[in-house]
Amino acid sequence: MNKIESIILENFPNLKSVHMLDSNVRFLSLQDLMSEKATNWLKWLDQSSFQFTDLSIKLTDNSQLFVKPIGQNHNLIIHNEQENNALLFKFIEDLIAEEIESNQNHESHLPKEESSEKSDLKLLDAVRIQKLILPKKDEIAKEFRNFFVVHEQQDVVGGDFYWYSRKDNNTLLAIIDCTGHSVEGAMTSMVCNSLLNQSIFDFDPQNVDRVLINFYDQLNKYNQTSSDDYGIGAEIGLFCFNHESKLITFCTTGISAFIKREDGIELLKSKKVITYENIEKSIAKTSFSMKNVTGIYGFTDGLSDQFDAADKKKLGSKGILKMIEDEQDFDARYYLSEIKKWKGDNMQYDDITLIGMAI
Amino acid sequence: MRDQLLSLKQEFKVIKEFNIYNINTHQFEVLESNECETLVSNLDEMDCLQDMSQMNLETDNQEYFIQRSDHKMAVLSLDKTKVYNKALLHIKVKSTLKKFA
Repeated sequence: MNKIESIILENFPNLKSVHMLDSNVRFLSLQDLMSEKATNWLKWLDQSSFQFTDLSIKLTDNSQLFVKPIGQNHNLIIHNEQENNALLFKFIEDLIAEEIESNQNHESHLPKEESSEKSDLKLLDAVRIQKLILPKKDEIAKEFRNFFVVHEQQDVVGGDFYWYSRKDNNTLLAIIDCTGHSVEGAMTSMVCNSLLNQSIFDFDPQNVDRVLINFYDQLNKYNQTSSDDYGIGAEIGLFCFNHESKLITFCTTGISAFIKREDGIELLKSKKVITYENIEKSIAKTSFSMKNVTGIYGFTDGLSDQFDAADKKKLGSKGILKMIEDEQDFDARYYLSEIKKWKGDNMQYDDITLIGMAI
Repeated sequence: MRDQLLSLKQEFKVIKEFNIYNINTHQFEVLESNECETLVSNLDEMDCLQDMSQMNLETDNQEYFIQRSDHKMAVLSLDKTKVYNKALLHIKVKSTLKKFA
């Protein structure tokens, strides 16, 4: 649960619901958690381009909806049926003002252990630096009929990233899951990004797996230079779209993908055991024609291993398949909203990356 | 009707516009300018007006207050720079609106 949500609920325990939504998550995803009267308003909030700073709606005499954009990336939405509205509004106003001020001063009123994640300037710099390695989505989108990325780090920085390059008539797109998450994962991702860029020096569309072999060769050398036993690792799923031969090649060491065709959806799995010393045997390689392929979805295990709200069941590839089958819109918002529905208030266990390409 | 709205506007200087919208006919009965027109028609199209009794919406430089009474709605545009008694305004708007029902 978000910190602001927790603070509000601690002080106003009888609220029907409190949610801090990412701006790319649909309001309508909260439909089941609110009264029926709120449904049309949630739809309006999703569709309206009206830029408001505060919105309060009295749905009935004892039911009030309150929406407040927080910064550029979040929306606070509260459904109240029992608490005093005036007190609640004043409390939220003060809380948000305090939060903004504390972020500006880099001193939060929250316990240091929790607040350091967001208010630490150095970490914010790390976020900016890590974002530098991510390719521009617009640039990748030009290569496909449609394209989206769900990139949800467990912490402000993480070990998942995606990578893109163009080699003559070939579009190369990779999903990388580096060992560790948070700062450890982020540092590893910087190294892996650099190694991956170097690994395409002798790119040959007939031997796409060569890119991964080059990558792991360099990674092994890198790890051997380490003075202690500590080494870094990464799982990679590399797609190569050859626009001349109309062939798609997928090489993977731990990343799985779904291929959606007009007649069904197929799961491309990686090999279970990856041995860096014998990497050629650890790479699963598949090539298939672009014909009849309508969509490709690659994902890291952070998604398939995510537990549900009750913390009992993993989403698994079956859960991802269901999301694809039920796909309403080919966009990140739909998938993000489905993932959040699955996760509920449970914690995110690992970095999550899901990439969708419509052919 | 217009006299009563004028009198309320004189009492509350914060009111820039006082419009009346009919939910049944989907038309404004009083419309001072088209400032609120898009917002209200958009809410009506999404069937939001049936599911509310009151709404306050603030933007960076504007404030809107909507009060519903049966099939009529008062749609006010307010001057955000002015200080006013919110509770009193709401009561007076509600009572004025009931007179038009």
